[in-house]
Amino acid sequence: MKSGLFFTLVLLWMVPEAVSGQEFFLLGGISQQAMGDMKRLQQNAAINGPVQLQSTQRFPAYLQFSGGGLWRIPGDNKVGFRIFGTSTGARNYYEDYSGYIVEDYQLVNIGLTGRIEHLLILKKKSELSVFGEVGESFTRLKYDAAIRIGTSSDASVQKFKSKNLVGNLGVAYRYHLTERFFLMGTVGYEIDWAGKLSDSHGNNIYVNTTPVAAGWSGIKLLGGIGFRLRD
Amino acid sequence: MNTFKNKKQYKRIVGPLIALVAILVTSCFEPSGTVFTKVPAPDYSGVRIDLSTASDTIFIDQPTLLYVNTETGSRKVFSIVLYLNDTVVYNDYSTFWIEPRSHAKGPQPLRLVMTMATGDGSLADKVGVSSVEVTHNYVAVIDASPMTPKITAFDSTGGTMTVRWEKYERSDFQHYTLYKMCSSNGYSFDDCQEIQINSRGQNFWNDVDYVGGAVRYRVNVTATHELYGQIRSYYWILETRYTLDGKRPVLHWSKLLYYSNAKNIVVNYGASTLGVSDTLYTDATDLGGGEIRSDHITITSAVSSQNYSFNIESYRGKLFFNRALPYRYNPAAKVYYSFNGYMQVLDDSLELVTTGIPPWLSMSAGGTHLITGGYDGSVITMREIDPVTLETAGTIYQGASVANSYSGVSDNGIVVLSKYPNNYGLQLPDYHVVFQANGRTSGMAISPAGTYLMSNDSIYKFNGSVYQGWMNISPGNDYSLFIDDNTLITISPGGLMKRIVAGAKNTSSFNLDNVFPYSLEYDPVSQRLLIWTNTGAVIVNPENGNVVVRFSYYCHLVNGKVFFSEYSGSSFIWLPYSEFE
Repeated sequence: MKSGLFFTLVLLWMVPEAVSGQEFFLLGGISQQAMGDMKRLQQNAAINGPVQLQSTQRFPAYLQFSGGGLWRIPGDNKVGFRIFGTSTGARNYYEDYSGYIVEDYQLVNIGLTGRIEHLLILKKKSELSVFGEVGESFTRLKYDAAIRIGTSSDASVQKFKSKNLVGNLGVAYRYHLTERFFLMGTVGYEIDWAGKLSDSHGNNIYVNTTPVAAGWSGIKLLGGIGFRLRD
Repeated sequence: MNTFKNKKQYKRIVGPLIALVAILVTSCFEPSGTVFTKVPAPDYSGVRIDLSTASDTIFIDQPTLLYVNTETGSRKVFSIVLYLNDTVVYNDYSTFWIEPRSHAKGPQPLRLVMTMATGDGSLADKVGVSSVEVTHNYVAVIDASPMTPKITAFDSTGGTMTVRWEKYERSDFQHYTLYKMCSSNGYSFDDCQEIQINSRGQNFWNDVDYVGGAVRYRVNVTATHELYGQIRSYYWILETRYTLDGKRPVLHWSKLLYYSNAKNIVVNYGASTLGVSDTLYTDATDLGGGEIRSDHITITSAVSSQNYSFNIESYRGKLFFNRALPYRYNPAAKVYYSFNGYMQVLDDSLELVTTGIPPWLSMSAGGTHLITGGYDGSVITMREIDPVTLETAGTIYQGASVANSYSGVSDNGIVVLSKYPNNYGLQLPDYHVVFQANGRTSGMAISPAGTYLMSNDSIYKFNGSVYQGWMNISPGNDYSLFIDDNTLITISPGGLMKRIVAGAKNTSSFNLDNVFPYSLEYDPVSQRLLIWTNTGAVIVNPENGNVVVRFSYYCHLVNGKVFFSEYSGSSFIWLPYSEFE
């Protein structure tokens, strides 16, 4: 985990010495993630309750927002950073005339990566690059369960967190609207080496005997706007 | 290093970054979605709860255990409660115990309520908070009235005997049967009358025949089954005394209690017939000559009679009494005991103090403990009694060790008795066992202070908590007693008497010629033995085996007096023992 953060800081430390141009961007898009462990956790909870719960949502693709900065370095390369935030969740639910039972899982992932881009194609108004990122993210799981039968109800909230090592590979396309503003689109595949979720006392969540992790690996499709600073 | 020169430009990216953070915070995923499941209505058609009774009307006339049968399918049963008139009946899981005496008599609503899961598969059902009550209503007909009627009173109102008993209240009544048992001697009884009463409300019977004496009654009920009542004993006897009118004896007796049942009073075997209200008779005989004669009172009814004898004696000009022969003297209470069908207690001047029923008595040498045994209904009991009133004065003992025969009691309260196949020593007041050994049912004895106990040809010594073997003596004795706390006398057929000093383990033997013993008594005042034989009685000096005197009739040597009875035990005279030395 520490290596990802270290790599990002090294890149940022190099920037003031090496850069000759700067650009910043804001992106938004869709994050798709595997969440294999979490889906097993949800399924396990659904079948082991007092009644068979139905899963209305199972960690679907959801919005990701990110922003970052890049600095040109020699050899058609850029280095910089990216901050991103992603969220997803799930619900198990049952309701009949006597009451309902609901289990909500809400996951939030916030990360910081160091980014390096290499220019492949440069045209008059557009350019195409490949990029790679390494960094670290922090995941929070909020588990919210409630039951209500007749006029009686009960609820509980539990929170868990984990730290993850993040890698990302993809391509970036820029279309220059003006000398300083450009449109930007990226598509990449994120690989997470997710840490095990644990509560404030260090207790993990288990499915059977296996600790559970929130795996964010998946395709990330983003688009947005950027601008360049004057040299 | 020109990268950060244009700070203005960098300021332009602050706004977008703040916007990015705001978007991240506000765009978190919110789980959503609901699904409503329609639960089918439950089917209770197979559900039932029943008591183990043939019908919904239950007759409870004795403590009853009811069992519960349920059919609930796979539904969980939370509770089963039985309410009798809205009161929860004690239950033990699936059984209920109803004690009719704890509830009001008559028909009572009996409600069996089972609380079980609905079983409809709903969320509430699955978490066990959804329940449904299933009720089965019964009617309990409570009847706590007694099964076997007890005789409650012997009533003499109007001068007749009325036997009263508890009314049989149950619906299955058919008839009462009253049995009357009569006795000619006060201790053995035979059925003498049997009366069937068909009216439930007639829970009494007038015995127009009873004029006095010992009698027993029992009431049975014929219902669904034959119910046997307990036997109750009763007696009333004529209190008699005499005075002298000059030299003529005057007989006095108490007024008849059951005068309406009596026809008349016959004196002296028909010498005179008197009315039922008469209470005295003056004999025409002049007693100056010192002859012995007898007088006799008979109370006659229309169908029976009760005899009371007066024996007025002038033997050797000493004393005349009309009491049964005394056979024991109680030095503690200073009273004599005699028995002639009834136990009589006589004071030091031989006047009657108490009359009672107990037919058997065992007294410690110092008179501090008196034990009697007998029947309370059908239960054999053993109890301490007051030396004068003959009323129960101590713990009543009923149990497995109640004896086949009683051999005595010591002044420290140890009762020796035999109950086949063992001999026992039981210590009062709680009758705990201090001695137990296999043995014969006769030949037991205990020393006055309880130091030694004899059983089955061995002497045992008390160590403060139990008796331990002390010495063996040769077998063959028929009767034995301790004349003091250290000395045992045994008598064998043929007249072999042994004097055994237990402390010294010393035995002396004496031949008593022509003595075939029936019984053995010891009088500590005269310090002599009295032995009944096949031909009469003999008095023996226990120190040397010498026969002091022989009588051709039976007598008792009590408190330094020799009591004689020549008229079937219904009267006695006494002489001091010193006259026979």
